[in-house]
Amino acid sequence: MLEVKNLSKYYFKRIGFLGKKETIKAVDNVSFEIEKGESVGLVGETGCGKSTLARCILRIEKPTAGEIIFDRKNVFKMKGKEILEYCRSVQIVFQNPYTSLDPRLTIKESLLEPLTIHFKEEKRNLMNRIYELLKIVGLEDSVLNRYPHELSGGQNQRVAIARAISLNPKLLVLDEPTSSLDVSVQAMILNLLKEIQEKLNLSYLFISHDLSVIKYITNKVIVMYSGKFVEKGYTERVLDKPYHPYTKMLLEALPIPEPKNRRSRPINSLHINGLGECVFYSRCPYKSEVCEKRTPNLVEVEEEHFVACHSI
Amino acid sequence: MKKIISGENEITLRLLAKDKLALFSLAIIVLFILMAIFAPYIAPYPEEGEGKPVPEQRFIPPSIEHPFGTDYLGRDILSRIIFGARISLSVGIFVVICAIFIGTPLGLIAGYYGGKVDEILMRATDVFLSFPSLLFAIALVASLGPGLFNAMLSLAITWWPWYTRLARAQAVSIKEQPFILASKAMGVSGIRIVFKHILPNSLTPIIVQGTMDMSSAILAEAGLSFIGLGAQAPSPEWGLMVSTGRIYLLNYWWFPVFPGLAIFLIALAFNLFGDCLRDILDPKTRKFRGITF
Repeated sequence: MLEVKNLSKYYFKRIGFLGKKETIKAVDNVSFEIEKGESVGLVGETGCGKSTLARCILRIEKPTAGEIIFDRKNVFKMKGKEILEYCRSVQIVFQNPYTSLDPRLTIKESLLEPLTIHFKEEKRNLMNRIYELLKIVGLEDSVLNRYPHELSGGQNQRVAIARAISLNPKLLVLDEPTSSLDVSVQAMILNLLKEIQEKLNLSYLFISHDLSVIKYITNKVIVMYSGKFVEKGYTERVLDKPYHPYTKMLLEALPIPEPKNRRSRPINSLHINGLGECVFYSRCPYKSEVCEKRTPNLVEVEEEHFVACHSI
Repeated sequence: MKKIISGENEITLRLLAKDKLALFSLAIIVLFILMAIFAPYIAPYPEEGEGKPVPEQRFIPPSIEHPFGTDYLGRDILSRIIFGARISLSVGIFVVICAIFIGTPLGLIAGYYGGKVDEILMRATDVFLSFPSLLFAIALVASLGPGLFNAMLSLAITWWPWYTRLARAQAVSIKEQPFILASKAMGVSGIRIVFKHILPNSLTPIIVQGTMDMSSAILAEAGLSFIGLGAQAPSPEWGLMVSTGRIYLLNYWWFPVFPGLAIFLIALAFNLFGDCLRDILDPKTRKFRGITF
């Protein structure tokens, strides 16, 4: 359904007035696809390019190279009506529910906006649609005349989800939808997302740095590091038997909810000892000479399980 | 039981009601506005206020019949000040509103779209800002010809770039907020985002600036009239009255002093009110004013 082909997004930064141009590779030559009804997780630490990738998919940013194909159409060559149709098909839910709703608009106005733009219908019909959406996300009609700051984080996130599904999308990009919420609320929102997915047969691109959340909600997972994919495959298999040293580190850093088995293995932070061609070179415990000279490509190590590492 | 507060506006109003300085300055402003609206009914000598000379009562010092005395044509100065409030307030409102209406949309568009649009608009405002604004206004009136309306027009022309800058800064900081990105992802058009989402969210500092600029605009216009480029006699414009009265300062002090006091009072009131408004609207400065909520 959605296919990302060799997508790259570089930012250019000039140091000083006449200084050299520095290239920051936020997303570097990545490819993947999402099928209908599938939920793909995207894991990685802050600043690894997850959100940039999401923004490219939503057409908020224009990629430097590569293309995104949606239902056999190139997203960045769409015009007029096709763009609006694409907007309907792909929607996003952001991390912070307080900032993802306009503070000056009531919940009703926020929910009405996408509907009035896309469906030229009577307001009464649109309001019926809104009541229906509120029922799906489990909110009462009384929130409609309130402002975002009067609602709790969980309520706001439900509103954001309602707005995202209001246009009957096929793909929902979830950019860390639970990480700014309370743990108990997190669980409720995750269950809601799962329910909605089954009910509406949606595809998810679920961005997170929380592997336990990924495990719960996705069936495929991509591990990203410094703009590149280092491992991808079915969630169960990747998390049970990770190949890439970075994935292993992420899994080891997961806290275990059992005090007896408590362990302390923080991800070793950046101590740069020489840069190599492999993006993970500076932090890798298994690095060798090859890693310094050649960029590892994604290789299929098992069926549908890809890893980019020389040491396998 | 305390009522649950809804909306930021209500908080602002409640804080305003607690701030004595804000209330005091607001009272002065309201007083002047009422004076301007009901000038013909309040003024003791409405005809003199509008400029009818009464030669037999020149230079009467302040007394019960003429609380502020009379001028060189025998006109009651209090009446003239009351009529002058109409001019000063309309100048202030006209200049500030024109500046906001021209400046804000340009700034928001520059800030939101960025790139070349931003470059062109901001360099244009830089050209305007590179002149001292009063000097620029003087040059403009001189070429348009002296007169109240021309003075107002040229002040408006020199004033809008400040709002462009302010609005641009607001737009730049707001456009990366997730709710703007969400609207973009929903296919909302750029112009709609600018005026439906960014404008309402950037109004606060613009209103504060506008309130404070009211006083500067009134002062600037009084200045233009003082040097003979603004309102012309027999208009009861305050700057003009100070200007004609200044040669009589030593013998008949009340002639220039009372109109001067009027200018001082209205400028002070708007400035103080703008100041209080800014402090109240910004949660960070609330505590410095000793207001807690």
